[in-house]
Amino acid sequence: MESRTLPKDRLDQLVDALIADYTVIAPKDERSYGEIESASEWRSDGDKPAQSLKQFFLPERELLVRYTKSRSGVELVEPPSPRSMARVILGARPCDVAALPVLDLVFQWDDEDSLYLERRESTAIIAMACDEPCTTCFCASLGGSPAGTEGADLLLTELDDAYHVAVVSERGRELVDRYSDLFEESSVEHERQRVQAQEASLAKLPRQVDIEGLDEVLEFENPVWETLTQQCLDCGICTFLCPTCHCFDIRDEGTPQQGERVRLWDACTFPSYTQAHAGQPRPVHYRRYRQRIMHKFRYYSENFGRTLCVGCGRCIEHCPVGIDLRQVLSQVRTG
Amino acid sequence: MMTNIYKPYVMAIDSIRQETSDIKTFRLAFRDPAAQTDFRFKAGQFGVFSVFGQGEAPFGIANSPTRSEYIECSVKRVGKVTDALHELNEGDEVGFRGPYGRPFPIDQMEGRNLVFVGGGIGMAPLRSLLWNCLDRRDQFGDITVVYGARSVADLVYQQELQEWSARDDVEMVLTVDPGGEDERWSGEVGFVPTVLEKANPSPDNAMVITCGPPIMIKFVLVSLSKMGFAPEQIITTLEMKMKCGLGKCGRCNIGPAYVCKHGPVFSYEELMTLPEEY
Amino acid sequence: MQQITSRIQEEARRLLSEDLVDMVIGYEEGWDPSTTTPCVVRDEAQVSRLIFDERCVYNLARYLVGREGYLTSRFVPADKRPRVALVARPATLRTVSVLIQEHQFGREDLVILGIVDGTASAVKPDVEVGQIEPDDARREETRARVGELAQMSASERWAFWREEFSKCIRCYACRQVCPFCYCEECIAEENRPQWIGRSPLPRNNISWNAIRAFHLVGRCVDCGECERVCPVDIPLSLINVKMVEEVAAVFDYVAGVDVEAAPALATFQVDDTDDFVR
Repeated sequence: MESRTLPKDRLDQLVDALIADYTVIAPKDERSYGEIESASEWRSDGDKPAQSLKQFFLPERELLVRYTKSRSGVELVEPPSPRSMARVILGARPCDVAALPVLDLVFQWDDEDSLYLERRESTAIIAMACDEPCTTCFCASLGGSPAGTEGADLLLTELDDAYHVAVVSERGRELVDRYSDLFEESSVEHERQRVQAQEASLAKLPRQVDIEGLDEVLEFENPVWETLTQQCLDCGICTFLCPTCHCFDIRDEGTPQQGERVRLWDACTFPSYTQAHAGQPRPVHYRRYRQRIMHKFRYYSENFGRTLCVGCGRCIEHCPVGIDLRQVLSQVRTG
Repeated sequence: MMTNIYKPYVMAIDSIRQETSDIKTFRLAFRDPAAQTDFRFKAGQFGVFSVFGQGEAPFGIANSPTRSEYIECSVKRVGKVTDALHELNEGDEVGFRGPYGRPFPIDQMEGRNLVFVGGGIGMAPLRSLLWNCLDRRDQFGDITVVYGARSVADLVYQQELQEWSARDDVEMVLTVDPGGEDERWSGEVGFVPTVLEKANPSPDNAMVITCGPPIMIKFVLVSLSKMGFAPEQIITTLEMKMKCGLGKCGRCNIGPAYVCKHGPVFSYEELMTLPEEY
Repeated sequence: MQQITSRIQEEARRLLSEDLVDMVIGYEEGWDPSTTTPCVVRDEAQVSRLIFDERCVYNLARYLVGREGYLTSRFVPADKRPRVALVARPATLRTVSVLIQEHQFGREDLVILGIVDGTASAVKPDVEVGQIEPDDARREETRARVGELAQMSASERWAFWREEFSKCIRCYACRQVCPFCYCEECIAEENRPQWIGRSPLPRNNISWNAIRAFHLVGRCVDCGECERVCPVDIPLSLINVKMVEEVAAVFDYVAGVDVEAAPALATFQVDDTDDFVR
């Protein structure tokens, strides 16, 4: 893989240059990534934000079509193409970035979801390697890493005086060429430091969970589901914060004369999710939780070949009642 | 520029037929005539219909591809969107996205004897397939239809039921639940599975296509098994809460299957591999 | 604190081994030394899982009520419901009082292993397993912040809350964690009409949070859980505590300190003041 370096004292220049040319999204605070107008708004240290990058590709509320009724009937107007808004995501965690190729699989299945896919096409991603994985990170269990490059165009790794810049994709190469006066060559010493940084962060990863063969072991009929997560509240925190959960609802907002058809984040953990006049197949908690786990760790890979999880650990960190998915996954094996 | 898969066609309501006290059949025409000519679908597919301002809901396409100058759906009034639909008049406009879903395997049915078993509004997708078969009558063997509803007033497509009964190339067995008959009723009285067993169609070279309330399907499957039908001979179509209809939103999942993509038509053999969550 | 843990385990062991209860709802170690998690112990052999210390903040009464609650479940016939022992912090004791006042269950339906802090509570534990310091610091801080908001002008306050509620992602964790949000069909789920818009637009978020606050007036006991669980740090306690203060001022009523009292907003006295009606 090609590489460059970015001297530390040129980081702000790069950020400013990107801001001048693109909409730039970076970690803003503990809660979320967001659009930044200056380099100082980028919160580049600290843990990853509570919210993932998902909202920039599958917004929490997204316009599908606008309708207006006039004397000549109903007129429909589509939202503007996301292609017109070139974006760069800066300082994204490798787990959040790796989630995007996993999500791509469902959004490009048969009926291509232009809203999602055009956002993907028009967004470049500069990831930042983690130097301090959280106590809840289990990315390695899902084939990822604190220095993972999947889904990224460039990956920055902090070294002593510079950032190592891994040029992961063609689009990454175009970015480096565009701002070529800011980048330097990468030397053997830089590579050595990069490897050292990567090994140091890997060594800090907390206990991982054995995903090997889990999809085969997960059984719908397993009686352990009934008591596994009795403390779960059935809220939407794990689902909404998860970078790979993508279930949505479609609603009309407006009057019969005019309004918007939108899609909204939804969660299979909500009791009303499968409530229909014809019946409610998941009326009690354990059925919903079973669906969540089996969808993410078995059914999604049966359909698309990837597990619907990147091991970011947000569901563990932010669960209001302290449920640990790693423990759940090992209990369904043995239980 | 990629197509926005969520943008519906605008359809005008051409006519409305009141089937029962709470079921109406809507005949819809594309407002854009080019869309009408280009539109193709197969029996068993469904569409996501919408009332602008109220929302979307999935319904099976109730007319046959052999009679497709329009689209028909039969809608039972049970909730917000169906309520709103029932309040509309001829000339009003609605949205339509489709056709979606896996259709009935009509190719596999050619040369075979067909048994349609329907309950209540479950007759709607069966109607699409039945007309399709009747319009290509010589490609199929015997056709038997066992259809029932709670009462005489709850039978849908009453005019067509009479039309089909008058034909000599299809055997119609109509029934109402015990207590649902009136003085003029000359059909059977009994639950659909019982009447099916009484009609006793042979499983030889046969396929069964069944659709109706879950409780009816459950007992029909028991009866069919008693009568010697194998799981791969039985086809059904599932209703599950659906939203996008395109395999994206996740709502209709049963196990690894997306009802909107892998279904809504499933063989009983396939259903047996899925978790019982529908 | 270790003493409290021992007492809880001792009592749980006694209650389970003498078959006086079917389950003990308490706290156990979490995935990390800084966390605990609610647990249900049904077996004497599991009693050593139960702990209590300053990390144990959850209001466990939440698990008693609602569509799936242990004492009120729709899915379990009334005569098959479990006999429950509950480890109860001071806020949980106040919560149980209000739930009894609202007829969710009777005092005799619950064995309470209570941890008291000297503050008023209507409900006395069956066994007092320990004493802790009252959380005066948190309550003072909340009161101070409520005081600050009261100093603002109405439009400043409106701007403050509009800003806060624009962060809301409608995860409903606040509702799901609250023992008083036991409605089987929450107003947020109603769609005929859609009282509260489901999407996270500021106006819909304000509706949701304001209506939930209204539904808690005269009931909230300030356990603090809603604010703790909010993933976007909306200071929900401030609204609820403000309402607690209003109810005390207008009706001389505080929830959770008198189990015989008629809830302030559920009853009407002829001499109720109405000078706040303008």
